[in-house]
Amino acid sequence: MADSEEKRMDFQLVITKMDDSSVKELMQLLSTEKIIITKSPEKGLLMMSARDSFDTDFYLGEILVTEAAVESQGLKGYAMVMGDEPGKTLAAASVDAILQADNGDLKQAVMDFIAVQAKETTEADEMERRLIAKTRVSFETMVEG
Amino acid sequence: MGYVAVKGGTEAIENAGKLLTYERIKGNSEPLGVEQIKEQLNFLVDRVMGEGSLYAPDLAALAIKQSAGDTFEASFMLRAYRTTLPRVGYSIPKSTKEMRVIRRISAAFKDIPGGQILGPTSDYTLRLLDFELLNDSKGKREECIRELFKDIEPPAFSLQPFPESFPRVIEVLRKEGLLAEAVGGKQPAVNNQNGIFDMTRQSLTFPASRSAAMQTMARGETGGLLLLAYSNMRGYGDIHPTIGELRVGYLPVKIKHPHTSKPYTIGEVKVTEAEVIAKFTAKNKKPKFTLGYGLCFGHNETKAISMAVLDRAMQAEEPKMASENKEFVLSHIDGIESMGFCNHYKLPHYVTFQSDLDRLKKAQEETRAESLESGVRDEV
Repeated sequence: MADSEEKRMDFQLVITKMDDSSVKELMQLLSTEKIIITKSPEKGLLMMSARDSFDTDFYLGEILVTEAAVESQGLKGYAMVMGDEPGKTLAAASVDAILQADNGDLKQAVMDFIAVQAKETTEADEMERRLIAKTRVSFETMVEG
Repeated sequence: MGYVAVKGGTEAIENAGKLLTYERIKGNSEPLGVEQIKEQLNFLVDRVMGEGSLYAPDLAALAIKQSAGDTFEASFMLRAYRTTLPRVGYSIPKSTKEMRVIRRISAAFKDIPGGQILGPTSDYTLRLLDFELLNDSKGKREECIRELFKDIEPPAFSLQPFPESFPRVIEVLRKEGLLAEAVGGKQPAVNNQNGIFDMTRQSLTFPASRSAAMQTMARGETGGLLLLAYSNMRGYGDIHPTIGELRVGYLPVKIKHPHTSKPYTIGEVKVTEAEVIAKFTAKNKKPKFTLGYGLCFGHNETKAISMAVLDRAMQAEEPKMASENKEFVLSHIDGIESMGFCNHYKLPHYVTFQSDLDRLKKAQEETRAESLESGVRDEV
């Protein structure tokens, strides 16, 4: 169970990185399902807590987030997305609910769709990681001869 | 004599606002897209988010456009906007161990566990104007990116193991017992509610707790922090800092999922983190290194380093200089407060000034009357 929960959340992260047309496609995929919006997407502030090197917790600053909650077949779905993103938030909350249900085909279709999107972002991230890796440096100290 | 307000002028004020807009739009260039500002003026966006204390790149870019690039005004707009929104929660406090690093360097050690990663930096380049940028185009950018990616495509590129996260440099000193574990200086024993001070809810009082000092500096104005830190570096203070580690990267933002109660990552924020090391000898104690810590939103190295230097400076047992005085530092680094106070002097002070004028005239008359007495020379 813990594993599938983790997966559900990973899926949500992928959704936050999708572009608008992909989010629309995803919502179309879910259109066969009856989804009740229990909390419409609303903007709010999440205070970010940080921990310094002395193990003191402090507030780094606030983050603009959008929150939404849905219900599908009696299962609750929730999402919080960074930024003013009502569409993505609703999509992520819907996916959260649907992935808990017992509807094999739809679940698989959603997971496949997200996996394709995830692959694209992973590839882009990997290229950036390589560019960063190329800046690894080893300085030599100059010794007077 | 208290401040006496004025009234009237509504029409002129409205026209002045319109004239300000006209100044921004009267040129013939294409309107500046918010997306362009967000992607191409990233340092500016980061600075405004940090000083406005609101992580919202789209809104920061909008504020920059609206304020025509004035960082004080733009941060002010973000602070004003945040007051219209409800607080929906708090993220789970986490150490920065999980940072997805894009840059990390140490000025203290040559070889650090995980290696030094320069990342995106202009540190070692000459500040020469690049006139090529005058002829910037989509095509040229695509070509530049192609060129960059050319030699990192597999199999030509074999990646040295690049860790997901890096161990901290200061752990080396910690292990050898060379680092003082406690924060130096006088600290109030108890913090505020749930242990963390929140200056958006409470006013700052002194002595300030460590969490209050950290939050105040994290939302401080870069120039203000730099000025005070620089005064210390130049000798109005006694820190002599070495940068143990400077990191730029992305921190995951985690909350407690309301349904499962499990940690749930909602995304990541770009931050800069600095740890400075300074020697410290307390009376009758073993000499040890002490630490100063800085962390702020966005890629802003000047701010993170200044914050770390000031954090260390404020740990002084007997503050002598401005930068060592917690109350002095924390009361003067907020950009919106200081800019607001400076600019409020432009508003009509007719009645208060008239009163000053009256008093001065009266004082002059009295002096004149005295000077007319025999033996007193009139200096006017």
